Amino acid sequence: MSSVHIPGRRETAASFTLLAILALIAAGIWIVHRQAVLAAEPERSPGPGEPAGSGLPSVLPDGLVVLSPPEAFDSSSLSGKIDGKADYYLTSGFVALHCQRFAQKDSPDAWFEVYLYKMGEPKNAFAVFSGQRRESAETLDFPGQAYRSGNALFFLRGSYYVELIACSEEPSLRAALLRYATGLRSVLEGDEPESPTEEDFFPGAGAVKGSLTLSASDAFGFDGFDGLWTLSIHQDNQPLLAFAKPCASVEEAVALAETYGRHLLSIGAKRLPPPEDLPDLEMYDVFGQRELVVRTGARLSGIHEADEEAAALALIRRMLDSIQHTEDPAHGPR
Amino acid sequence: MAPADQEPWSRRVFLARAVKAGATLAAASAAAAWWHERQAPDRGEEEEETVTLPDFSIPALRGLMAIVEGSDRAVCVRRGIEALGGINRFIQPGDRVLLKVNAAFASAPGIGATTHPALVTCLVRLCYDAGATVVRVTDNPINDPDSCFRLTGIGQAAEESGARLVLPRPGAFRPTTVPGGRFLRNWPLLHEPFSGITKLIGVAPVKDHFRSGASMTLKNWYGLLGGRRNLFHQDVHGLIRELAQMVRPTFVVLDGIQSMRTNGPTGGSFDDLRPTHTLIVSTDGVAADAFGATLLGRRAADLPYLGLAAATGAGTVDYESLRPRRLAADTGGRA
Repeated sequence: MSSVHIPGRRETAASFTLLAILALIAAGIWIVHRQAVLAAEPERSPGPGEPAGSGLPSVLPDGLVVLSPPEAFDSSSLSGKIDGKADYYLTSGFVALHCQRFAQKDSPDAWFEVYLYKMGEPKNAFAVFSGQRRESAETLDFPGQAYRSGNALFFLRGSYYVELIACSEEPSLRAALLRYATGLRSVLEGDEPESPTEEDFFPGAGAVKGSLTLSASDAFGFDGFDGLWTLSIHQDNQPLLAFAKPCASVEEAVALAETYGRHLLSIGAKRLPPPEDLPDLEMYDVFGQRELVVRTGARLSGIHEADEEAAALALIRRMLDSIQHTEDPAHGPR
Repeated sequence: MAPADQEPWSRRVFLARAVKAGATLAAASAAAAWWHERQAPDRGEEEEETVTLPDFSIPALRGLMAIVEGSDRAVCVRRGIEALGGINRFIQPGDRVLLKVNAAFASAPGIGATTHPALVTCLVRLCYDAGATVVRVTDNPINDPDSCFRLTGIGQAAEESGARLVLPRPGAFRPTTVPGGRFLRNWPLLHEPFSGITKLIGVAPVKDHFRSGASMTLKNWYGLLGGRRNLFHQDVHGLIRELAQMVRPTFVVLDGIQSMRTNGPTGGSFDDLRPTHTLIVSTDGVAADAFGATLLGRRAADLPYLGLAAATGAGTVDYESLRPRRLAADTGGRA
């Protein structure tokens, strides 16, 4: 008759020790092997002539010629085109990038490059468009969201974000950019993005035109602020940065307000008592600046790093007053 | 003899256990065979010897720094080098010089994402004037090398001034290891351009960088790496620390005549640049970058890699301790 062997404690301990050693050896082999493979692989950077998939739509206006073959990049190869900036796009929903250079027919040294970013959703495209908007942006006679900045032209179309970067500010080249952009926009698929306006989040006068920005992730260095909207507003001659964060539910907004408050306190902020007429306001002293946070329904609103407390309070009062008159403050903009 | 806590095995138990043990061995062997790669990753060569870059610094000239205000790059770099004692202190007759530029992107010089060709021309000529027998210009760009060197104007500047342009090719890399390094272990280094080289000059623009906060002379050595180096961006400060450990140049030139204050490292619009009218020449890359941070409106403390690099002995964050020479180069700048 057979019997069942019952291992003793020492035997069990020795077995687990051996298993742990084997696991460590396996992990070590994997790490060393991975390092060798990565060192041997070149960066995925398509060179001239490499097929670029669907590429850019063919919209070459008269007077322009192709300077270089099309290139295409996906999320694994994007850094082979824009290096360290790739992470910015990757955290904003990046899908694909198509690029190509063109030159003026009568002046080959006058060239520009087109960057067509496919961002998956219109709000992702707006995030990278607004997050990189140049201070000196010139408004442009162009449909939808677009601006010109020196040698470059930027526009949105549905879930596409497009950059046209020229080698100079020469007037004929600037005109060529506009012609190309107009043609490209007309063939890009996608409805007009439901781009929010200042009024959607921050009602009232005083907003700096074109300053509405969507941060896809980690706004203000806080990892809970994904999809945060900000807007520059002048109040009592003070430049202020207002913010709004729509949440999925009231509970989520409550929790986020608490987490953000703990984050501020952890970096050295001090909680201040709110004014009597704003009992729900959370106010913090952050190294001499004021951070204001208030929840209305499922939305957090606030003022970031204000130099003047009085101006910040005046603006938050105005914002709250306007929010109370909006139709659906719980769900933010369109 | 059986242990005290168990009975002797029966024949049936023995056979059952032998079968289980055999099955385990067979499964382990099958798994090993399944994952085994009969050929090691192809590095282009059979078995390459690890290389280490020599120290190109000149001990007697460590800790020198000149901060030149002006708007003409060629004038500024000449004045900066003169302020440190002249090019002949750094380059002697017979020297073979390598100029490591930043040609990362196939963009126009005016974008400010790459080394300005005027600096290439001037530095190559200075080296030849000092008696250098060979001057090479190199980088392993992010974009395709031919387009980068052509569109940035660096290729033309190098060739017209008599330098030899060395573009990366698969056989130009050799594995290198930084002692104690976490990242640079048997990692491919663009080594071919260093063949016979006796002096090394790094020349880079001042740029914002989304990941590292700034890209200046220390980050410029990233262009000596091959492989899937972009993965290092997850800990870019740690990588730059190892780059500072790996490369000890003769001197560096940091071009802050215009600085890319936003949207780096690629930029795109001329509006990403701000005229900062300053060029730095230094034998201390850490000090040069620490000063360069101020041109971006930042403090050295905002760039963690500076402290890490200084800890390796690559230089000092406290650039004022070097008593930098400050001078105005031309009348076009602020000075």
